[in-house]
Amino acid sequence: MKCRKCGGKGVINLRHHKLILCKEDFLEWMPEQVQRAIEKYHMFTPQERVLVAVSGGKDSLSLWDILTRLGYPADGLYIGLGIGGGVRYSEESLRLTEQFAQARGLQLHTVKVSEKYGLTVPEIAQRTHHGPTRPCSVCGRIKRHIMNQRAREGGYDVLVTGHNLDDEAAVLFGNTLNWAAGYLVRQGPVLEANIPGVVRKVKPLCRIYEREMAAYALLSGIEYIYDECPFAVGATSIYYKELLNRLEADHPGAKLNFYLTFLKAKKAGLFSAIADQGRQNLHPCPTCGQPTSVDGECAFCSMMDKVTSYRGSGY
Amino acid sequence: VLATRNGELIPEDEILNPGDVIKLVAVISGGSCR
Repeated sequence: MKCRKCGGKGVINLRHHKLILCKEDFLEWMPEQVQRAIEKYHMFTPQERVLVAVSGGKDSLSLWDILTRLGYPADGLYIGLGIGGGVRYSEESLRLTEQFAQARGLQLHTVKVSEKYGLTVPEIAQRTHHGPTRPCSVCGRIKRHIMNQRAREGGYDVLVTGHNLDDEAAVLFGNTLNWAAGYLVRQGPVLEANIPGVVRKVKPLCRIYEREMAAYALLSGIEYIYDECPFAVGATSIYYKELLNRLEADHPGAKLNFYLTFLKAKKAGLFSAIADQGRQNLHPCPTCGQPTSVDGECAFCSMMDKVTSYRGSGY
Repeated sequence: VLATRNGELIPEDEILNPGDVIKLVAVISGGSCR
């Protein structure tokens, strides 16, 4: 297996690109691909202030590394969820994230949910009866709220997340199976800040396979948390990823094609009517000011009200 | 998974030798939260 660029020893075969690369050329190729996505989807410029949401995993830490190599002045935001399990998940992921930031002299903001709201994510899920055994929806809601809030407070122009192609394809697959048009219309590489109170959100890794991200982290020597969140075991999204990987094994490029043709259909206006309807329904939450489509308080504030009343009841 | 040896990726056409110490690294991550 020889590198297509230099003829040296190839270490990775990118079948969907019909490209074999050695370590050095692969580590050069990856930032080029990320830069290409940033430009293609008009995500941000070197003059804008960038906040990267980092979890301690391979995708977000590699993304932060790549953005730094590309010369973008990117700060990090770590959200401590208070998830334990046998691997002390949150504790270990914070340690690795801090280690990464310190080694490179990068600015890291840390928000611990338990310090900010008095309870960890699993405790909030349990006390609000929102997924008492699997707090993933509560976790997502809290993270989205904090990410947008911290980006606004910090004066950042854009919030960057490490969602890779496999993440995007799995979400798209699930939403297509359910014809969840409301979710389909919102999925894309860029979520524009065209609503007051919302910071632009972008996904520069949306065209990069998860396998490539894992390879980049390994070959770059980035130490990341190998263990999975204990609540992710048996998650539907992982099942979808496995199904898509079987498809990809027989048809290299199938995942990328699935995602890119979806974006093309969306750009052609396939979901335009639904998008207009969704925008009309949005209004600022009277409590936190972030946009919401539900009457009254947003889902986050409504959930936190339940936490407050629960604590007030003497538990 | 990715197969590694001493922190380096093992090319898919490489034949392993008896005694080689191989580490398999999981690629898939993320749950409903992502």
